[in-house]
Amino acid sequence: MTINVKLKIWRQKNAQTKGKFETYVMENINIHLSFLELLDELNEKLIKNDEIPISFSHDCREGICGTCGLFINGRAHGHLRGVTTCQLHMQMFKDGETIVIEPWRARAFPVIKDLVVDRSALDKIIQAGGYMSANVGGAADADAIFITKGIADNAFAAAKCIGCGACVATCKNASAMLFTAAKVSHLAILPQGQCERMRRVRKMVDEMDRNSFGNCTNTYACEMDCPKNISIAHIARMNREYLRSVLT
Amino acid sequence: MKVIRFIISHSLTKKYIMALTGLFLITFLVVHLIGNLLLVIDTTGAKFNEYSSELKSSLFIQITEFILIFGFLFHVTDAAILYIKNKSARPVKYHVLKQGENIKLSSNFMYITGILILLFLFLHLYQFLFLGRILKSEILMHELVINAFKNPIYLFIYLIWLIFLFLHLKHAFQSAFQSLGLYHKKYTNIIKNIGSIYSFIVPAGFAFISIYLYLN
Ligand code: FES
Repeated sequence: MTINVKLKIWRQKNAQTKGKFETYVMENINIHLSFLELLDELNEKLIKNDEIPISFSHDCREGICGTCGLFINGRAHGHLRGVTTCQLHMQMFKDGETIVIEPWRARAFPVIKDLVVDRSALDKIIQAGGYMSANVGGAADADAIFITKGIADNAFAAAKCIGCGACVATCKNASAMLFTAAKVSHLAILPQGQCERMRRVRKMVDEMDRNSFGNCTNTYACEMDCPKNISIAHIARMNREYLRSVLT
Repeated sequence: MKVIRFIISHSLTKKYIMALTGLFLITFLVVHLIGNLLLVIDTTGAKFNEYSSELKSSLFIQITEFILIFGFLFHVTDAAILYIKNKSARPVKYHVLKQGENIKLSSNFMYITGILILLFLFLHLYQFLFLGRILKSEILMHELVINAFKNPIYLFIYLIWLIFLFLHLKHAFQSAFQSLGLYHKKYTNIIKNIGSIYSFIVPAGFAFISIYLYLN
């Protein structure tokens, strides 16, 4: 089955220039195409016509790398819950629909070109403390550290964050709380993360504050648009961890 | 000074202050409502007058009021700082933004409901605190209250105000707990439910008293 769609895509030459929307009509689109494949098809068309193709970020195309990320019809990664842009398929759209595609919008994520934004602010947060400095050697035997399944699952739920930046993109305050919280929470739960627990949360949150993200006002939009369904419970844990580190 | 600078320059400390002052105001509203119930319990107004003169003289109340004013100022200033910072975090707006799909109405309009509550609060404070307490007029509090609520325009604005208060509280209650890191698989739902009940009952209580006074 095929559908026709109209794409309104944000085009911007570089960070210095002002961008604008361009409209492209795509006809006879196979509904099994992924959203990125749709953009590939469009780019092929553009190249054939000697036009400049649309820049967009992508890598794994299976929802694990967090590179892709588009604001589709007013939602981060589109309206479908729990998927990344690369996992969104054209069958989720109606025939004749106009699809508006924008880059992530945040002061902390300046547009590099078209739909590509610079998300290195997230890397800086990780560099500030989202790791363990101790050399833990090779992968240990799974039974060597005693933790319950519940703890392991909880940590894993936070570790699922792929750093795509959808939380920042969808938050009305462009806050990076869910991202930072996922990282803080993941390591705070596990025994390996204990030594640097207090220092980590301080450093990461302070780095987040330095990177012109907004402040969280508990609207919980991030949780709804996170492709990995990361819960705001992790934000609460980070609030707790930070409070503890400030008070002790 | 150092503490204030620390609080203002960190996102999470601002959040804690917002939550703590908010919870303080939430508690205050309950006390205020209980006090107001005297207007219904004793229609002659004697009890209410006694209560309000007690408020004037008690040292404990004066200290609490002092904390209340400070808490309130902190809450409002904190909100203003957050507002400016959050607006500047997204200089280029989205062309299409379906925020309604992923967030609740009440959480989206905290600033607007907050400002509207604040505006009417000035009138409210002028009417009762300033005229009744600071000017130390001869009119007793009960009379002042009755006069105010017999005026249908005042009553109407007051009721509208309570709707905004309801919307503000609806988000505020659970949000304060979340900000302080009090989230739990089991208990968060209970907190949410208490929040929903609270945010309805308190404004409804005030509304009931005001309508009662108008009708009687
Ligand atoms: S391309 Fe890797 S998550 Fe979409």
